[in-house]
Amino acid sequence: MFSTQWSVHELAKRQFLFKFNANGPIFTMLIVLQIISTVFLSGASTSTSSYEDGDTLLSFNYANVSNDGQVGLTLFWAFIVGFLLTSAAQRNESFAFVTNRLTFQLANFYFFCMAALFGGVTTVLLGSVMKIVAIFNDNAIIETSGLFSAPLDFFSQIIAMTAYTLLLMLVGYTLGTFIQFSKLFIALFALIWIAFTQISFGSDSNGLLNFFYGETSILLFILKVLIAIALLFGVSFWVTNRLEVRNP
Amino acid sequence: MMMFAIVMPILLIIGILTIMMVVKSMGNVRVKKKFHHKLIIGYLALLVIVLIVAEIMVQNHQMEPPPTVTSSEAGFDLRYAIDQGAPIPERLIAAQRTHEVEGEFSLPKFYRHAYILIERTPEESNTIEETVYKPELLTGFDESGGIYYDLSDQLQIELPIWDSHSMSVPKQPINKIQYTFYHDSNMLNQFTGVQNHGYSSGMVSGVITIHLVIPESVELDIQETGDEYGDYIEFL
Repeated sequence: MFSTQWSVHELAKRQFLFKFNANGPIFTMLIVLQIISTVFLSGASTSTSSYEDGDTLLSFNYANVSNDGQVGLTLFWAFIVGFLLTSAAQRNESFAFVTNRLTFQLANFYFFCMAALFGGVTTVLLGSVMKIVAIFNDNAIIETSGLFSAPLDFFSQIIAMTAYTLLLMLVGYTLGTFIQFSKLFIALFALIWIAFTQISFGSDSNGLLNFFYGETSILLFILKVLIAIALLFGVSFWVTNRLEVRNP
Repeated sequence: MMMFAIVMPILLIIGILTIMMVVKSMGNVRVKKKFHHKLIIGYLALLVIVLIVAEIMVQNHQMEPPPTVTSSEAGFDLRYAIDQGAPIPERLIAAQRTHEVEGEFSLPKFYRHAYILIERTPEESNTIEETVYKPELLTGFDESGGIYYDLSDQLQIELPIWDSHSMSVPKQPINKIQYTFYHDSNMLNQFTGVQNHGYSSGMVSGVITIHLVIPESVELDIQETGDEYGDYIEFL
C-alpha cells in the first residue's frame, strides 16, 4: 500500500525532469557546436565564383551565405543524442526511481521532444546571425523573409526543423536500442545504410528522403513524421522490453 | 555516392565517441546543474535579441534585389535578331546615336573590346546610325524555375568615340562586381515556397556589340590586318 498513487504521466514527468537535469551537458554541447559552426561557417559557407575573360575586364564574384551548416550539424547532434540515450548508463539511471519500461520510454520521449524543440528553435534563430554576416558584405541581397515580414513562414521553419530533429533522434534511438540488444545489428545496419544511400541519393524523385522532403503540405508532413515517430518509438519500446532488466 | 556511404558512418562514430567522452568528462567536472540551465536560457535570450537586431537591419537594408529574367529571355541572340530585324529588348540597348561623316570612314584597330556589325544601306547619305548594345551578365538563382538575376546594368561600358572620319573603340573599363546572397537552408524553407538550388551557373556575353548602319555612299576603310582584329568586324 502506498499513501500516494502516482500516475504514469506523473512518473514519466518526474523521470524526464531528472533526465533533463542530468543531461545538461548534451544541450551545452549543442550550444558549443552551434557557436563553433557559426564562427567558422560564417566564412566557410560563403562560396565564391568569378567569371573573367582573357583581359580580366570583367570579374564577377558572388558569395552565398546560409545556415545549411548549422542545420546539418544540429541533425548530426540529434542522431547522436538519440543514440546516447540508449546507453546502458542511461538505462541504469532509471532504477533510481520506482518505475517501469513504459515510464522510462515516455520520459525519453519527453526528453527528445524538449531537445528537438531546443535544436529546432536555436537553428532557425541562428539564421539571423548569418543574415547579419551577409548584410556586412558587399551588395547583400537577403532572399528569404524573416519574422517581421512573414511570421507564418518563420514558424513553419521552426516546425520543419523541430520535426526533422525529432525524427533523427528517434532514428538514432531505435538503432541504438537494436545495437544494445545485439551487436550483430551493427553489421546489418551497415548494409542497410549502403542500400539506403544507393536508393535515396541515387535518384531525384524516389526514395525515403523524398517521402519527407518532397512533401509540400505542412499538415501531411507532420502526419508523416508523427507516424514515423510512432513506428520508431513502438519498435524501440518492443526491443527494450526484451532487454535484460539491468545491464552491467 | 559510395564515398558518402562510407564517410558518413565514420563521421557518426567519431561524433558519438567524441560527444560521449565530452559528456562523460563534463559530468566528472561537477559543473553545477544550474550552469547548464543558465547557459540554455542565456543562449536563447541572446538568439532572440540577435533575431530582433537582424530583422531591424534587414528592414533598413536598402539593397533591392536585381531584376530577374526567365531562361527564355536570358542569353538573347543579338546577332541573329539584328540579322533578322527582330525586336530587341530595351534592356540591352546602351545608346542609339547618329553621326555625320565626311569622306572616307575608317575603323582604327581596337583590341577585342567590341563586336562590330556593319550593315550597308542603299542610300545617298553621310549619316551613320549607331546602336550600342550592352553585354549581358546573368547569374542563376533558381535554375529549376529558369529564373536569372540580370546584373547587366552593373556593367560599366565606354561608348565608342567618334570624329568626322572614324569611330574608335576605347579600352573598356574593368568591371569588378561583388554580390552576397543570403538564403535560409532549403530544408527550413520546405513550406515557404522560396527554396533555392544554389548559384552554380551564370552567363556573360562578354563585350559590347556595335551595330552600324552605313549608307553605300560612305566609303569604308577597314584594314585587313590578318590578326584577330578582323574577327570582331562582320558585314551583314
